[in-house]
This record gives sequence, C-alpha cells and structure tokens, in this order.
Amino acid sequence: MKILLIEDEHDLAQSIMEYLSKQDYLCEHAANYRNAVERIMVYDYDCILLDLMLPDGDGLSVLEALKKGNKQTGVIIISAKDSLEDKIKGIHIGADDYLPKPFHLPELGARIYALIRRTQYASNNIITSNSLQINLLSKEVRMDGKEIVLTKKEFDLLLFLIGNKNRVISKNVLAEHLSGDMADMFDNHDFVYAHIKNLKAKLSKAGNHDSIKTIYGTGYKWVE
Amino acid sequence: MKRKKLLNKTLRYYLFSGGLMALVAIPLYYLGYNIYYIQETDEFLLEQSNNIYLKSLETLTENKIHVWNKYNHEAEILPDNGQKEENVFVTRKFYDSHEDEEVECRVLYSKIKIEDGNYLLMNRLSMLEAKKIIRSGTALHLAFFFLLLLGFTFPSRLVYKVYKKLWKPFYQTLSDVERFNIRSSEIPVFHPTDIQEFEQLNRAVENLISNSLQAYKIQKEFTENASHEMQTPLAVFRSKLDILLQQKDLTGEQSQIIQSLYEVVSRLVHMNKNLLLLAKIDNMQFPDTQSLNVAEIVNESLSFLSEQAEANHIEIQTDINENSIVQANKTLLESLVNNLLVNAVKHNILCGKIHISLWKSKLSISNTGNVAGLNENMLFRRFSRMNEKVKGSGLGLAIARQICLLYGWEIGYEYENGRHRFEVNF
Repeated sequence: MKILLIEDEHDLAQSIMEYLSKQDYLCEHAANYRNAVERIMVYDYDCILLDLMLPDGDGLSVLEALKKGNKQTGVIIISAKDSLEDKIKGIHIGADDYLPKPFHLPELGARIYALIRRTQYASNNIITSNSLQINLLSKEVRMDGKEIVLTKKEFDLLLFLIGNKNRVISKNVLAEHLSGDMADMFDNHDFVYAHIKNLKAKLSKAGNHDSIKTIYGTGYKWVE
Repeated sequence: MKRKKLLNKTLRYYLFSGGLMALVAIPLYYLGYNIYYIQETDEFLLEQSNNIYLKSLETLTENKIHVWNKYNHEAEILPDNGQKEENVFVTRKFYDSHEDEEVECRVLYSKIKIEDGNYLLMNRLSMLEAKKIIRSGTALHLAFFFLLLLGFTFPSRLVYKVYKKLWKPFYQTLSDVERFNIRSSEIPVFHPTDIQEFEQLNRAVENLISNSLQAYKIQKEFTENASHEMQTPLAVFRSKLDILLQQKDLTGEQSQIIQSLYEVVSRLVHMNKNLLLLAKIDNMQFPDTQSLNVAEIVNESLSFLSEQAEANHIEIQTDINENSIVQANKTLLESLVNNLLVNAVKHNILCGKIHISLWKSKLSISNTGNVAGLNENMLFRRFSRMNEKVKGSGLGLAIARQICLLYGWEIGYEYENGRHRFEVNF
C-alpha cells in the first residue's frame, strides 16, 4: 500500500510517516505543492493525505490536478482549518474524507484503513482478523460461522482497533472517536473502559481470546 | 439632558446677540445722525454767508442796515460785540412766528465790515424739520428691531427652508454614518458639497471609518490566525504522544505520565476550539440560519450524554411540552444545548437529577449539584470557573451567552430548592 503525505510541517510529517510505516504502508512525503504535483504525475498511490495550506500553493489545487489526471486515488484532507465551507469545497472537488487538525494518529490510521478498503476492495466487504469475520455492509461479526451480536459502539470500537492493529491506542483517543466533539468536554473516560470490557467479554465467549490487550489501564491494542 | 435642534439653538444665539446689537444701535444712530446733521448745517450756513450775503453787503452803507435787516428774514446784521474768532456756530432758540413757538436753530456769527464800522452777520437755519426726520428715523429703527426679534422668536418657513438647504450635506453625512455597520465593511459614499467645513467633515469621517475597518479586519484575522497557528503545534504534540505510546518496554509510571499529557493536550485543543468559536461568533461568521427543532437537538445531545450520566447514576427527565422551532445556525444551537447539558452532567452529584423542560419558546435545564447558588454576574464571564474540582475550558457559558446575544435570546440562571436552573427564552 503506497501513501503520499503532502504536509509542510516536518515534525508532524515525521510522526505520521513513522506511525504508518509500521502498519505495512509505504509512505512518501512531499513538503510543498511543486513536489506534490510532480509525484502525483509520475507515481500511483493508494491514498493521498493532503494538507490544504502549503507554502507555495493551495492544497485544493493539488486535488484539482489529481482529478484532471483522472487518477482514482483516495484523498483525505488534513487541515488546520476546521470550517464547514472548506470541508464542503474539498469533498466537492473530490476528496473522500476530511480530518481537521489536531487529530490523533490512530484516528488517521482508521480513516486510511476504511478508505483503502472502500477504494481497493469495493466488491469485498469482509474483513478477516484473528479468524474473526467482519461484514462491513451488514455490520455482522462472525467467529467460526457463529454470529457475535455487538452494539453500534462496540462494532465501531472493534473496527477502530483492527484499523490500527498492533498499535497501542490511548483511551482518550477512543473516547474522542466514540463521542466526537462531546468527548473533550469531559475528563472522565470510564465509559470507554465499560465498552472495551463488554467487547472483550463477547469476543472471549465466542472463543476469541486475547485479541485486545490492555496496557496499564491507559491504552488498548489489537494484537494480530 | 434635553437636546435641542441646531436651528433653534442657532436662532436663540442670533436673537440674543442680534437683539443686543440692534438695541445698542438705536441711541448710536440717534447721536450719530445728530452730529452729522449739525456738521452739514454748519457747512451750509458758512457757504451761504460767504457767497450770498457778503456779496450783497459789499455795496451796503451803515445807514441802510435796518432796511437790509428788514428784507432778510433768516439773517441779521448786528453791532459788533467784541467776538474774537472770525466765525462762531451756536445752537439756540428763536421765536418762530409760523410755528408760534420757540424753535431750535443753528446760528452762525461772522465778523464783517460795513464802510469802516465793525459788525456781526448772523445767519440761522431752523433745525425743527431735521429733528422730526431724526426722530421718525429712530422710531423706524426701533420698529425694525422688534420685527427682527419677532423673526428670531418665531422663525418662518423660509428660515427653515434656507436652514435645511444649508445643512443638507451635514444631515446626509449624519444619516450615512448612522447607517454604517462595521461588519458590512462598506465605506459609505458621501455626497460632494461646496461647503468647505462639510467637505472636511466627510473626509475626516471617511478616514476614521477606513481606519476602524482596517483595525477591525486585523483584529478579526488575528484571533482566527492565532487559533489556526496553534492547531499545528497541538497536532505535532498529539502525534508525538501517539508515537510515544508505541514504545516497547514502557513502564506503568511512564504510561500514566503519557495519559496525563493526553488529557492536558485535549484540554488545550478544546480551549483553542472554543476560543476560535467565540471569535467566529463575535465576527458574525455564522450567517446561514435554518429552522431547527430544539427537541431534536436536545435528544441528539442526550444520546451522547446518557452514558456519562449513567456512569454517575444521574437520572435525566425530559418534558417536551410544546414543539419548539427556532431560526438559528445549526452548529451554534448545538453548541448552546451541548454546553448547558454537559454542565448539568458535569457539575452534578452521584445519583443526582437533571430535569429538561421545553416549551414553544423556552428551554429550561435544572440539575442537582454539590455547591450552593452561583453568582450570576460571574457565571457567564470568560474563564470564570465556579467549581475548582471540575476541569473545563472556562468558556462554555460565555459561548452560550454569546450565542443567545447573537440571536436576541435571553439566558438566565436561578438557584431554587437545591437545584441550579438555566433558562433560555427564544
């Protein structure tokens, strides 16, 4: 899986690349508009992460150039501008997702995972991990043919964890993923613990043990 | 202070100063005309004596003097009384047989010689007519004075018309400035005028407005830019924490530290978001409004909050009494409802209660809490935290109030029977 990261902030780019490279992604970096357009014209990518504010040009023009080249690459806009207009404009020009900064890397990981699944495996809606079969369309989870009934939030959590497999994810990140903007109004993230506990119990009952590892009560990891 | 129209005030000053001037002018006119008339009379008398009488006296002999005196009514040859100067003017009374009374006359005494004898030639002119003219002139002047007073006290339509025409550019500028709204960022176009002061005023106001617009724009950009600039370092901070958490051999203690850093950065992000939101509300950057069902927004918010409430065994009771539809921006109404509901959960007690009531134009949220009544004045201020135990951005209620201000809604707080109640009147 090849990803192009177009981002002028070096520290952030470095973190993103480090996080993604450990997840079987091959990640390339362009720090400015010129470089980005050059790479897009020459290489094919599975996913492009696009910062809208570049030192030598508007990120949206990169998107336009990409669409003119008729490339079917999935694009996720990562922007410091969290305005509805930019979001609508970006999606209108052809971006697939919009993630406002500052985001959590696991959130980005989950979005990339979902996007690549959508664009590359359009006909295949089944994810398999640790002999667990997840149907993205019907939202059914099966273990050895037997269905595991999950709540909407548990299903959401499961996908998020699998999308960031073998990475430790802080419970803050999970809390924000589950409750969006409301999460940062609370400091108490015990509800994440409750959901994880229920999910673990349900998986365990179906014979899937130890897929979710708890790290010192502060983070969780899907071990594959 | 009672304000007067410029015209009335102007006229009052004119009345005062003009009246005073006219009043002083009456005696001055009288005295001045008197002096002027006497001068003219003297010149006339001298001219008459030198050119007419003296010529006829050249052939006169001493014994014919009484005959000359008899034929000349206004002149008389008198014996010398030792007058030193050549000509002497005096004002004195003479008996006038026409008027049958003493009449004031201007008299010229000139030294003359007839044959070898010294005599005085007396030449006089009655001042009766002149006095009459001066008197009626003064009376006329007085009449004008009263007319003037009348005109100033009860200004005519004409005065108003002239005044209006004269001050038209000023009133135009005034209404232009009144209609000016800094948020529309449009400099009004002033009508050109040929009066220097008004033109100067227009230029000055134009200058002032464009400077204010500039400052307003800079301030607007600054708050937004500052918040945006902060997003990037916060993003770096977050990403580094996510990377740090992946390190193998992290100890429990290290994990705890990372955990608290996560919490701190979340608070920073939240605070920054709220500051940006406040700046955007201040700058009216939420122009698009739509009809929104308040009950729907409340239910949406509750679906996120119920877990938090359940965790603390808080009972939430909702009474949707009437359907409530308001015109507002969706993001802002959500923010208002979320802030109030989150507060009701956050500042509640274990096994506490929340009561939400909705009427056609009123939303009321009351909750139990562990502190007594709060100071309403402090409550809605930015960064005025009421409860030290509960962490927050300190901006929630400030945002709620700002949103209410924007839409002309009323937000109030009450403490009653151990419950905190917030009420929004749409």
